[in-house]
Amino acid sequence: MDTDFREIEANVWELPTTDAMRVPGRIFASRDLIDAVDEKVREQLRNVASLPGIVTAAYAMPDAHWGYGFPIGGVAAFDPELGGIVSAGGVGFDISCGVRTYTTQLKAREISEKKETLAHDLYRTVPAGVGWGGAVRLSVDELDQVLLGGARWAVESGWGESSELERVEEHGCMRGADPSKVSRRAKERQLGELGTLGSGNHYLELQEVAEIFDAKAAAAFGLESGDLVVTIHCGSRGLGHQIGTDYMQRLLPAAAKYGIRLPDRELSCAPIRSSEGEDYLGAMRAGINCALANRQVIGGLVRRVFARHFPKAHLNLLYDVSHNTCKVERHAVEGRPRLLFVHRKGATRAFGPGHPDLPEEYRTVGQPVLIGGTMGTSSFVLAGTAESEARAFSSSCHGAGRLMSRTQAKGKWQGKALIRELSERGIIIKAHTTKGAAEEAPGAYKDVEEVAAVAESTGLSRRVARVLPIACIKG
Amino acid sequence: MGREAEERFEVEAPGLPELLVAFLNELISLADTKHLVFGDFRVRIDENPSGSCRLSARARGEPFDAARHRFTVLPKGATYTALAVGRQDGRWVAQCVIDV
Repeated sequence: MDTDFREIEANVWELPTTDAMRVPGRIFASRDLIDAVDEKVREQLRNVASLPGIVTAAYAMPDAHWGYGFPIGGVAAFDPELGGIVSAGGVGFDISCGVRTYTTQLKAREISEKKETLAHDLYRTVPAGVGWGGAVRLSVDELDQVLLGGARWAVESGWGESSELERVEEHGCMRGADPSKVSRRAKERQLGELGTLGSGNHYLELQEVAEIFDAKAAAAFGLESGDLVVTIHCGSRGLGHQIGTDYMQRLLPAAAKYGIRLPDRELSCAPIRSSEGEDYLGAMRAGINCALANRQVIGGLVRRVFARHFPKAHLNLLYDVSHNTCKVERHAVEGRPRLLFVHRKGATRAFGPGHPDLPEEYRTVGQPVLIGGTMGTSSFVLAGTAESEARAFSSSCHGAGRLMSRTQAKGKWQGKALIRELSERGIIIKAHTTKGAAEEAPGAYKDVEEVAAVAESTGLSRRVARVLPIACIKG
Repeated sequence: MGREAEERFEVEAPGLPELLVAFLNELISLADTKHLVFGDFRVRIDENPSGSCRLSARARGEPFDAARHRFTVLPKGATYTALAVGRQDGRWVAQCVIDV
């Protein structure tokens, strides 16, 4: 157990303000989860807490683990009035990596006879894994329109329905994107990549709703026990990676220029109110739109597959959440509304009931929060709570959280044996490499049940439904 | 590994560890944009008295072929985490964590 953390209330641990820290660190975790927290998370929380303009605390969600600069599962809000910063490291390389889930108007049992065929067609149709070649080939000028329009561009190009956009964060289009601040190299990395899942922990999953926790919210989200849902997890691909690389380097001298002491170079940052900070924000928002368009296009590909096998299915977007972002949000701090730049790195925005940015049909129950588990365990649909704003600027966890590295996982599990074992449990895995599957073994992650339970017990969000995997297309 | 593809480039950085990050990031983005796999490298490093460095590289390889190049993950970028370049027991040791 990390003795530096003090439990200030059940499942809320505080790292007191010491040395260069401007605010305390705070982690939401059960005793088991905090015992498993990497030493580096404590160090990284301390580092984030020392950055200029940080407000209230540096937070770590229940799935937190060691990241680059910020912990994964890290949340920090900065006030431009207090010299606050925007950090390329606080957003990370996979800008706006996120999750979207569709309901299908099918029951899972209705596809049981054809699930292998369906999974195979999804595997063939949705480009995934290492390789190049997406569903859409773009010129640089066309890509600029994607970077300005996001999911809205994709819908206008025939990849979905305009009614879906209300169920995407930012209504499908991140304002303030500036493609001129994105390097040519970053754009070149994306020209053939739109509509691809990518590799690593990205996936496309068929899931069955196994349990309902909150009937009212489940009804609002269109979820019933036994339903078939489809979940997509991916991000901004090569473009986002290159924006991260470019600005991680560009903001290092900027931090020095403005006299910002960086305890870790991965925290590379600039004042929000500086030309360097504004350039990064314009590029990062373009990266968010790239990710939103990417998931929208993949959703369109999934629809085509369903139309071939289940013409009566209708894929309704439940919601689309982004994990790696910095967004301008108004939050009450000590009773006063303030405009803050909220960094979420491996964390989900979780607006509570009544928030004006939510679609009307979700306004009474809160924002859907989609928590990806692993290919062998539950995933969860949660909802934002009223108290989450005071807890951590309306934020919640984003997944199970890695427990061991990819190398450790490969040493412990064999891909083929793992795929066979999951198959015996009725879960189809379509992976481009068996080693890649081993790296994503369920045992390499924390217990997602506990992560979701802690998110609920601490008021970050509340559980609405548990879903179980039927078939997983691994990136 | 074939050698039919060849790229030449230069990168600069304030120190050797940062030069390693810049070199790897250049390779990652070249591979991603030109769909190449590299396997043969020749580099020349010039350090100036202020400590800043310049690296000139020639990287050779072949076009990516999904059937033969069975990578499990695609690198996103080289990071500064646990970054180190130095001499140990008479040998150069370079360490860099790549985000995938």
